[in-house]
Amino acid sequence: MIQLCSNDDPPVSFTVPRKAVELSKTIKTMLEDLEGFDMEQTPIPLPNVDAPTLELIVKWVEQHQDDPPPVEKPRVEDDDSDDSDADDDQEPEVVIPEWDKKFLPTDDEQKNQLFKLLNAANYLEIKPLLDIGCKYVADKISGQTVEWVRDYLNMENDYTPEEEAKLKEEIAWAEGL
Amino acid sequence: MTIEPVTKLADELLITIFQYVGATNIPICQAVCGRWYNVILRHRNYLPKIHLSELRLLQSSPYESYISPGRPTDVAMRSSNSLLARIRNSLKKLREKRAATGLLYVRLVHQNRSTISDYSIEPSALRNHFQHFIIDYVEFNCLNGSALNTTLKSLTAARTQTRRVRISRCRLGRLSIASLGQYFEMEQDSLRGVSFHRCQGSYLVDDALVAKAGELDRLMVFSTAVPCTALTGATLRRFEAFTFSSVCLIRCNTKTEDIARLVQAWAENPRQNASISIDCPYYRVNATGISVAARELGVTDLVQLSNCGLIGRCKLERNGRILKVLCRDRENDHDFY
Repeated sequence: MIQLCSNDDPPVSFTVPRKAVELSKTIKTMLEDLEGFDMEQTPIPLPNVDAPTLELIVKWVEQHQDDPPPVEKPRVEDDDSDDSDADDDQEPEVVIPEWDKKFLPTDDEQKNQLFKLLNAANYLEIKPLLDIGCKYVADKISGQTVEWVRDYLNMENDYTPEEEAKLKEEIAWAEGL
Repeated sequence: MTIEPVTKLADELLITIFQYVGATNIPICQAVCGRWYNVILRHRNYLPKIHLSELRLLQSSPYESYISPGRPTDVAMRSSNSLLARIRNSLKKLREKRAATGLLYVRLVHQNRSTISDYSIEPSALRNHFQHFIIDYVEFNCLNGSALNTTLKSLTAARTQTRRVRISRCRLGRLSIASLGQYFEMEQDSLRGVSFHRCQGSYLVDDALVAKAGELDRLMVFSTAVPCTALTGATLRRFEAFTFSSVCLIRCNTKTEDIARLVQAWAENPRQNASISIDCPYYRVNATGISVAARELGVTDLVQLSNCGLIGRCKLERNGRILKVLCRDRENDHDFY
């Protein structure tokens, strides 16, 4: 068993089976580097993750600890224009499993929790969680207006009115596609 | 501590989201904020793009484009008086419009051949415009030198993986030829067909430019103006090296021995159903010359080689094992193509 500590004051700690915690590449690498130390007794501090988020992460890795390891797909490197036929279905297929659908904090009040979760998953390098989370956000913002996306993701509009008007004009063709 | 969940997300996380968001939503995301705009711009070629079958760029309105700005007399000669007046009128309007607005008309055609968008835009606003697309076929129609140049630069930056390019009735200048060269080089891997059609300044189209387009399947250069294109036998000889289906050069500096060599290359390395049409200034090529040269080179299975002495046009066709060489003089070359 491994102990993980959140960044709260005082830190909240969670005890997780080693197998589950190794779904995080960051922690797996760390544990491998510290081979020989008694990691069971040393809590691992996670300075970027708060308690509610860590609780979610722990819940997720415990659920998925027995999943087969994901197939490593290399990111599309450079421009192999030759296989442009293959580019047609370049969009990666990600299906969010039932359990994960219920697990993701998808209520609109909880959206900040979802983003914190994604941040944490990125920091801990939990690729499958990252994929389903990003897929969920992507589905959510697909087909929405610029204003809606901005509001949903708490983004600030840093364009000047002139810049925005020009951009709007430039992407006018994309509306209603 | 205020929570800014997404602004703190690493670029790679944003990219993952954009990868799932679908090609048509990416332009919307780009309008959200400056940071997203730049992330998308930087990684554009790794994100999904909208697949278009056609992009047409016109500098006149689509309804006026049938009038060639280069050869109004051609149209005029064949038309009745009332039609003539109408044509003159629309030419006049065309000129005024172009001078007044300098706008470019853009037509996007989706894979299933339906037009998804028609709109007009200033050429200078095109800078980041084409990055959202994979485009099979690009047509430039009636563009002046500066519009062509600007458009080509934007296309080069966008990496649209284009297969066919048609440049029709445009005004080619040294600058746009240079941009065209860069564009060809950039799209070399995907580019299969290039056609120049009735362009002003097509004498600037030379071997070096065509060479930049790489291994083409189809090449067509059609120049109606008196100065012919600068393409020589060197371009034809490049075609010996790889497979292609059709080359059509009209008014090029092709010589008899270039064609004869090509005949030989085909005899040695047959390619199904390939054809070459050449319209040469007639003093450069003669049918007897080709015939003699081919015999000297050991080609014996020529099916047809009309012995008409000095010729205007010459067409070579290969269909399986049969090689046809057709030569015509200028008087009876109707329906030759």
